[in-house]
Amino acid sequence: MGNDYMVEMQHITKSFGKLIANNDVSLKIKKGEIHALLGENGAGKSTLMNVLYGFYGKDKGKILWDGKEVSIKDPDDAIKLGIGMIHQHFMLVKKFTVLENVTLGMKEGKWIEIPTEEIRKRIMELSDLYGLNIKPDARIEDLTVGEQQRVEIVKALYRHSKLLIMDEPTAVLTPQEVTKLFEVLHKLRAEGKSVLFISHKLPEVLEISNSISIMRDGCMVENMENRPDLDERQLANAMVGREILLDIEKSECKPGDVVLKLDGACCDGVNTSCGVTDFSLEVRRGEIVGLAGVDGNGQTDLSELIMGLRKQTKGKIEFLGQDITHLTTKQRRELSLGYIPADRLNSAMVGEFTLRMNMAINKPDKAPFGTKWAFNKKSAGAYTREKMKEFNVIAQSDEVPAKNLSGGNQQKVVLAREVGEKVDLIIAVYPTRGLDIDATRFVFDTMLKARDKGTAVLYISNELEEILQLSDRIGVLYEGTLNGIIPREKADVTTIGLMMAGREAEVIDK
Amino acid sequence: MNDTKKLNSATVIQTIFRLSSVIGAIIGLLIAALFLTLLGINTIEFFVELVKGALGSPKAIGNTLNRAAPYMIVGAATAIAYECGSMNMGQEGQVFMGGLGAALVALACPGLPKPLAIPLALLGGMLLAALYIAIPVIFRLYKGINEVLTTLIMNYVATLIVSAMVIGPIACTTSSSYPRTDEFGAAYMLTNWRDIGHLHTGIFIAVAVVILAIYFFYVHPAGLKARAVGFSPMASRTAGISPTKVFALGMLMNGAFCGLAGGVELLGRYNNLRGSYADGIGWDSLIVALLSGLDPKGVLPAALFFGGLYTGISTLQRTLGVPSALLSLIKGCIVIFVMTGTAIQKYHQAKLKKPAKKEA
Repeated sequence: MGNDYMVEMQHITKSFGKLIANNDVSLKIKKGEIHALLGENGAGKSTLMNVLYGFYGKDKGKILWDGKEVSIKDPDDAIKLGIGMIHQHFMLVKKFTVLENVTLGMKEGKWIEIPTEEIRKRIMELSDLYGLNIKPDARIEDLTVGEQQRVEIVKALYRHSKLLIMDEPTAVLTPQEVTKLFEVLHKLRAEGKSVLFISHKLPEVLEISNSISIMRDGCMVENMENRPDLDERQLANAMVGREILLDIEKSECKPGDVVLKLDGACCDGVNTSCGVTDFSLEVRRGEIVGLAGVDGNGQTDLSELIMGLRKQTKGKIEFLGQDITHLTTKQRRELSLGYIPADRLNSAMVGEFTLRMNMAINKPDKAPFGTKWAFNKKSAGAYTREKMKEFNVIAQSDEVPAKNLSGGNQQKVVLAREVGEKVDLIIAVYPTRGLDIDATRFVFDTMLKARDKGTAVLYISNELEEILQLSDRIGVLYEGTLNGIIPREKADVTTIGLMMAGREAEVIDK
Repeated sequence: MNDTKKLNSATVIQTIFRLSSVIGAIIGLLIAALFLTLLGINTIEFFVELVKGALGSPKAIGNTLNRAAPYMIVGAATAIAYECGSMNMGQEGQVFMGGLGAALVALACPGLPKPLAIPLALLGGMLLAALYIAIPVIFRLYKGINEVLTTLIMNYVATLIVSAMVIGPIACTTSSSYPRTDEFGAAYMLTNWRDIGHLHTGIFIAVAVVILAIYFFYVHPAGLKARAVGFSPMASRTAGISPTKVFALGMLMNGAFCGLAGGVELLGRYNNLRGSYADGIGWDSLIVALLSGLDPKGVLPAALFFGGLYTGISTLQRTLGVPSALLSLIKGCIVIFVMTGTAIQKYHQAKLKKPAKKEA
C-alpha cells in the first residue's frame, strides 16, 4: 500500500517481424493523474497501449499494477485489473440503448436474470458523479459522437476501471465536445481515477495533463511533469526529434506554369469528415506543394474533390487552364495526372487482383494493356514486369494478388501505375503511411524526380517532417480550409504546428 | 515472419475452396444415398441407375442437355452479375417474363418465316425480362432499396403475371384442358431431334452464351472493370469506374439473359405458353451459379451436372421408385456444403488479414 503509481510499465520491448514497435519503453502513471502520451503516427503509442490492454503479448519487460507484477494475457485480464480502454472507434451496438450496451459489457454474470434496475441505478449514479449526462434508455444511434464517447466512459466505470486509456479521444470531437470531455476528465481525476490520454495535439495535452510522456520511433524520449513554462515548441521538438532521419538533396525549385488551380472549391464531408470549404490553391510545374494538417482535417476530402469523386458544391477546378469542374472521375483519369489515394488497399488497388490487373485497372482498354475488345495479358504482363523492375517491386511475378505484397511493395505498384509515365500533376495523399524507411525514401525520390522533370506535385501528409523535407511551399489544412500557405524558407515545426492547431499564419509571424 | 508458411496455408485453403463445389456435390449425393438405404435401396444400384438415367441412352443425353441449356444461360449471366456486385435473386421471375415476351411476339406475328421468327421472339423475351428487372434497379438507385428483397419478391409477381395472362388476355381461343395460349406454329419451334430425346438447338445458344460470358469476364476490358467493382467499389471509383453503372448493367444483363433462357425453354420444348412452363429453372440456376464458384468457366460443368441430376432422378422415380423430393434434398445439401466452403474461406482470409492490420 502507499504506492503512488497505478501502473508501471518497465522496459517493454515489442516487435513485429523486423519492425521494432516498442524498444525498451518505460511508462509510469500515478494514481489520480491525467497522463498524456504524445507521439507522431507510428511512434509506437498504440502498440504500447495494446500491450497494456492485453491485445499484444510483450517480448520483454514487465508490468506492475499497484506495485505488484501482473501478467496481462488478454483484455479480460486487463479489465479484471481495472483497466478500461476507450477506442477511437466506439465499440457500441448502435441499435441498443445505453443500458443494453452496458449490460453487454458485463463480465460477472447472473445469467438467468439481468439486474436491469440495478444497472440503471448505477449508470445514473455514475452519470451524476462524473457529470456525464447520460440517459440509460437513450438509443446509441440517437446520440452525438461526444455522448457516445461518454457512454464508453460509463461502460468502463461500470466495470470499476481505475485506469482509463483514451486513444486520441478528441480526434472525433467538436471543440465544444472537447471542453465537455475535459470537464469529465477533471472529475475523474478528482475521484482518484487515472487517465492515460493519447494524443498528438499539443495544445490539448498542455491543457489537460499532469504529466507528459513522449515517444518517437518506438522509444520513450521524454517523461516529464507538465509545468506552466512548458510550451508547444518544446513538445514539438521532442516529438519530431532534432535530427532529420532522412537526408534529402533537393535541387533549386523552378516553378513554371500553373497546372492545378482550385478556386473557392467546396464539397460536403461524408460520415465524420469535415469536407472542403472555399479552397483556393495553385500548384505549378516543377514545385512540390505540401499540405500539412492533423488527420481528419479534409485531406481525403480534398484529394477526392480534385479527382471528381465528390460532388463539388461550389467553386472551380482548372487543370492546365482547362476547366475540369464538371468532368467525371473517368474523364479526369484521362488527363495527364497521377493520383495516390490515402487508403492504399481499399482505394488504390483491388487486393484480390493480380499486379498486372491492378496496373491496368485505370485503362484496361488502352495500350499497352489492351484494346477496346480485349485485354492483352501478354503485353500488359510485359509492361507490368518492366515497371516492376523500374520501381523495384519485390514480388514473385506479375500474377500474384496485390494483397500478398507488403505495404511498401504495394505502394510501389501504385506509384508505377500512377506516375510510371510522365504526368503533369501528381496528387499524393499519405503516400508513406505504414511504409518502412526504404520505401519512404523511394516515395520521396519518385516525387522529387517528377518535380525536377517539371511535374506539379500536391503532397498531402500528416507527417510534418516529410512535408518540411519535401515541399517547396507549405500549406496547412485545418477543418477543410487552407489555413495559410508559406514558402519553405519561412516554415519551421513550430509555425506549422501552430497553424495545424488553427492559428493564422500572420499572427504567428509577429 | 513466417510469411511463406501463411501463404502456403492460404493456397491450400484456396484450393480446397475451389474444389468445394465438387466436394459439396459429392457429399450431397452421399447423403441422398444414405437416406435411400433407409428406404432399402442399394447405394451402388442408386448411383448406377442415376448415371444410366442421365447418360444411359441418346434419349437420356438429349433430356440432360435440354435441361442443362437454360441452366447454362441463367447460370453464366448470374455468375457475372454477382461478380459485378449486384445480388440479383430474381432469376425465376426473369425466366418467366422471358417466356412471356417470346410468347407475345409469337402470338402477335404468326406469319413470320422461321429465320426471323425465332430471333425476334427471343429478343422479345430478353427485352421484357430486362424491363422487368429495371424496376428493382430503379428502386435501388433512387431509393436505396435492397435488390435482394425486391428481386426475390418480384419472382412471385412474375409467375402470377404469366398465370394471369394465360387465363385472360392471351388465353387459348379453342378449348383446352389447362390454361395455356394458342399454338405458336412451326416457325416458332427450335429445330429438334426426336431420336435424341427431342434435343433442341437451344443447347448451341446456351454454349454460345457461356463462351460469350467467359470472353466478357476474362478477355474484354469491361469484364476487368466489372470484377473490380465486385471486389472493391471504392478502388473502382478511384480508378474512374462507376460502380452504379456496372451494377445497373449487371442487373439488366442478368435480366436479358434470363429472358433468353425463358425464350429458349419455351420455343425449344413447348409450342405454347402455360402457367408453370419453366418452374424452378431460375432457382436451380442460382444453385448452378453457386456451384460454378461464380465463375463462367465453371458454369458449363455445373449446368451439365445439374441437368444430369435432374434427368437422372426423374428416371429413378420410375425405375427404383425413388421419391422426387430426393432431388430437393440433394440440392439443399449441395447449397449447404458449398456455402460452408465459402464461409470457411472467408473466415480464413479474415484470420490471415488480421495480423497485418494490427501493425497500423
